[in-house]
Amino acid sequence: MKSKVKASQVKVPRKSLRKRIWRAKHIYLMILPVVVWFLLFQYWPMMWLSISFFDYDLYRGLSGSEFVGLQNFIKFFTGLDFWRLIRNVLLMNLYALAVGFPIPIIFALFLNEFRTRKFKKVIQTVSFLPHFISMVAFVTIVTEFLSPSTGVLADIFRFFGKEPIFFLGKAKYFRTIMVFSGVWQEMGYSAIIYLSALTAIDVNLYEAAMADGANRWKRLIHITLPGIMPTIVVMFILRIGSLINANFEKIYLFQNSMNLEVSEVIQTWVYKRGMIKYDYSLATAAGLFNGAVALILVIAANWFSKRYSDSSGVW
Amino acid sequence: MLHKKMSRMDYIVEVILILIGILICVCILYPILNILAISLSADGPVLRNEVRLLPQGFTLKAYEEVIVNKGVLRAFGNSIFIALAGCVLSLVATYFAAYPIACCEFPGKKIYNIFVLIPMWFQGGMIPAYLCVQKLGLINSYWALILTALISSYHVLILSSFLKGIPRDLLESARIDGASELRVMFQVVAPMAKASFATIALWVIAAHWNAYFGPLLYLTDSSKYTLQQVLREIVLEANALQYDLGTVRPGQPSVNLADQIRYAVLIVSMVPMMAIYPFVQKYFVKGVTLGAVKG
Repeated sequence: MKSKVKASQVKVPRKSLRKRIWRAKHIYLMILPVVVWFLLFQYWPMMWLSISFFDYDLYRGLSGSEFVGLQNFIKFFTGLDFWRLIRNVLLMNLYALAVGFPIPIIFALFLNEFRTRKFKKVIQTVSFLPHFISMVAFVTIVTEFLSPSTGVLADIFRFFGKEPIFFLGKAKYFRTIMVFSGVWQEMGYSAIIYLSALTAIDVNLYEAAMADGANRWKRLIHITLPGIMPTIVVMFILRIGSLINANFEKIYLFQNSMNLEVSEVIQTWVYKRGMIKYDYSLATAAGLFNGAVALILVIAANWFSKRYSDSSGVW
Repeated sequence: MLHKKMSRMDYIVEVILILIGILICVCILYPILNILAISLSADGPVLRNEVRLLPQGFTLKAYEEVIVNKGVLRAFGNSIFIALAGCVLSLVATYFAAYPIACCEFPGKKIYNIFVLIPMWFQGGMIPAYLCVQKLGLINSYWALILTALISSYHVLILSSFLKGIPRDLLESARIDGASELRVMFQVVAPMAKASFATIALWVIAAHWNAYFGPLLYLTDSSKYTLQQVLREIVLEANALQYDLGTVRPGQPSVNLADQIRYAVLIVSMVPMMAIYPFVQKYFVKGVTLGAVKG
């Protein structure tokens, strides 16, 4: 894309440019509503980020509010919550990366081994199902599943003569619940990208390997896995790029007074500070910090993945 | 696919794979079937915690109560309106945003392209978005939900990279024949982009239908609540009295909702998405692939 940007800088004689603009008037008319929408609903909110440098007063508006410089940021960084918020989001995402990243790959490899396409299709359709469940319903289903009285895990505990555990009531299980429920919800959907990478592998490679007497396992290790390695690396880098992002709805709905110590992340903190305590400026400062870190991570991730594979650059 | 005949070894492996596949399906479906079974069971077995995979004392009583309930029905209608209106408007807006990037040449196109894609990397965030919606006077209006989610830079990227694959000759010949740009857009190009539209439509409908946080932020009047908000209140038994569901405990002002009723609402809320997604599966599989390569 960068090279194309340069191409647009090639100088065009002025008259011709004006003529081209006039000729494209219909297109400008077409994109006008789109531009207005982006200005109103994307760029205007970005302007409002400036309230993080003020002591924003809801009734007096921005012009009547006092400019306080970086005071809100200092308050946020030195607050008791800051490191806890960072720790929580990072630990949760690293845990999800360790468990939730390899499982869709294994699932895709598993589906790829099927010879009967019908079974493969049915299993794939079933695996998509949890992705389309709303977060409210999802949290209710998980709560029922983990219930100490009616849940299936409680049944297993009782079968072995142990006392069932109230998993959602104990902070130490919170991350595990988040990660494994996430696997349940997204395993099938996340496997899509690997499955399509698998179909791109050259069939001749397999035939040559079979002629050489390579068995299924060897073909999997020496052809299939290297074949999707570029996709795996790119997806991994992208996951690193979103390490600071939390799934707000899911965390918020799973949150209770017993797990607050490990479940509070920047987004939920911003919501409570801003929308419940009306401390708009401090909440916006925290949100701006979160957005800036996420931006830096994404740019770094893109840079790395572009370096890794020029052909499949993600810009 | 690879070879015509399967060896005995391949046959054994296939059987093992199918068995593992069935096990995976059971694991994925079990929590949902459990909820479904409870919603279809009689009071006794549910109170004794006996219901697992199959309904005990099968009854549709909970559903009969839920589908005639005014609060649930109104919320269902609200959610359908938001999802359908949001879907149609989002498709048109996304198409208008993506088409010029892919199919037109005009001065400033690169700037426009970057302008449209920046929000994919950086956004104002929760509080600024809320303040803008408030300034626009959209609080407690469905337009807050529809307009804030009208265009996604990511969808524009996916649609425009699909449109770029359409042969330019087709467009040029239509333009030379004197067709207006709108005519080219809707009569020549749009029919060829059906698969992309289906994918984006599914994404938009799913996002609106399943959204909880947006309505929580922007809708304050309980008569405007979406199905997800009502489901949340019913699940938590908060404001349950308002929904006039279940049985009133004698001497207590609160309402005790039976598990069957709560889970019947949950199942009802899931049905529309469950009914749609298998039919557009092949489209969104393509869409995700394209998105991962380009986005």
